[in-house]
Amino acid sequence: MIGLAYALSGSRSVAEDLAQDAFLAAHKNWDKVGRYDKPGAWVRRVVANMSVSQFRRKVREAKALARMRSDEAILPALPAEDEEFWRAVRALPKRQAQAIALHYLEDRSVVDIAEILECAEGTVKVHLFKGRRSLAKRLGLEIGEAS
Amino acid sequence: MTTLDARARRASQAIAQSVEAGAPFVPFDAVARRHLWNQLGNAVAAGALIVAFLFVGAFLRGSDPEPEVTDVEPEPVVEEVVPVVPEPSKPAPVDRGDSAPATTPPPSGNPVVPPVMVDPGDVAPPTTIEEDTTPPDITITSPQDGEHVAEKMVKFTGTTEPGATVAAGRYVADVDSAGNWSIVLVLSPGANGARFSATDAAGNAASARITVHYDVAPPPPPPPPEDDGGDKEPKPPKVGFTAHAKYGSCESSPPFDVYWGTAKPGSTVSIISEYGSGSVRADDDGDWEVKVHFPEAPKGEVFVVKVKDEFGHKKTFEFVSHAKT
Repeated sequence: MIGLAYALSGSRSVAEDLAQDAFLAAHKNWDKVGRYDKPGAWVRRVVANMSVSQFRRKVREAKALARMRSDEAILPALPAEDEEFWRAVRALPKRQAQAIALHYLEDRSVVDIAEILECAEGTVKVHLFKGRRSLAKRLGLEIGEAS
Repeated sequence: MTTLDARARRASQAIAQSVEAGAPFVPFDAVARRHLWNQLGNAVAAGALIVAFLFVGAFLRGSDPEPEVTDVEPEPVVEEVVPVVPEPSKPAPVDRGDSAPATTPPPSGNPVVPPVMVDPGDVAPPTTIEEDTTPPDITITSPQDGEHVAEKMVKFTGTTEPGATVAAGRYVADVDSAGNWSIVLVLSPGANGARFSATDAAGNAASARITVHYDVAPPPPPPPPEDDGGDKEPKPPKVGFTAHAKYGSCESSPPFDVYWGTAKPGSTVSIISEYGSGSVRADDDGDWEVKVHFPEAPKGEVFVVKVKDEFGHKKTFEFVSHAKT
């Protein structure tokens, strides 16, 4: 969950905060969330939506930076090449970025992603197709499995 | 060449390693506690912000900004002197409004004495100055009040205190050193009220008023029309008021009627009813005709239409609509 938040928000200091808030929201709404078939999908949706929200992300970043004075650890930085990849993901349209992150980071199937993002499987396929095409073009890569 | 999927897999692994190497697992209780503290902190911050805004608002409303202090020369001190009001030695002239020369009204109320500027460096004792509080005399010698004149432009003359200024509204009169004043004003036909005010150097003012009538001579009669040598007799103008209604009812939609007749040439004839009105100007021969629509007239209901001229002549007609809707 933290990884998803990290990939989509791009902020190490914010990722943990987002994940915690998502779990707290699930805890507070457990009467409702607990009745879902897959509560985890609900939490992931909350994380994914909060991570791509610019305004919320800025607020959380400010709060997280304020806490950096304490001795709490934060996530280590990514290698430059990987950071560039996730920056390109974050530059995609919101829905495409969420689908790509869930697909690569959590190895989710199209069915799972559709359930998490509450959209049709066909829509997820379109998001993945367009997102991967844009990423390949932006990063100068070929689409497809490495030989 | 590296493929997108291979690159994405490496980037995903980097994220996973970063998360594993990052913050240790935080017990849920600790997270909940921190969340609670966060909420409390937010509430306190919001409260502090509101209080700060209230303080700033109260400060801005209540405080008078101090003027900037700059290096300037000290201003002379203004010292007020108690005025010495002289007893009036004679009754002041008043504006009587009759044919006698108009004179000044008596002074009334407490006179206003301007402050005296005293140099602060002056060591001499302050001097008390007697102020002139007597309003200047003003009389109108020509024309007389109520006089009838035949000229549009009339020269008004009179006398006042030497050195005083005389004005009629915003027009200033010429005043010589002896206090004789004159001004030429343009009159309107009929009665003209003229008010002249005199103001002396001390600012005391008085006024006088007269009424002059400008009698306009009647215009000369128009020359008789030239005989064109034709056989036709000149047609006398129709000046009598007559009115007629052409239909009285109508099946058209909107319903209308045509009214016609005679009236004084150039005068206006009005057609008035509850459901439609109109007006027309009589031509040079005194003929007039006008079509008036009654768009709101109820079908089958008879109503009254009044036709009248400017001079109070009138005639009434009835109208009924049979408009096919």
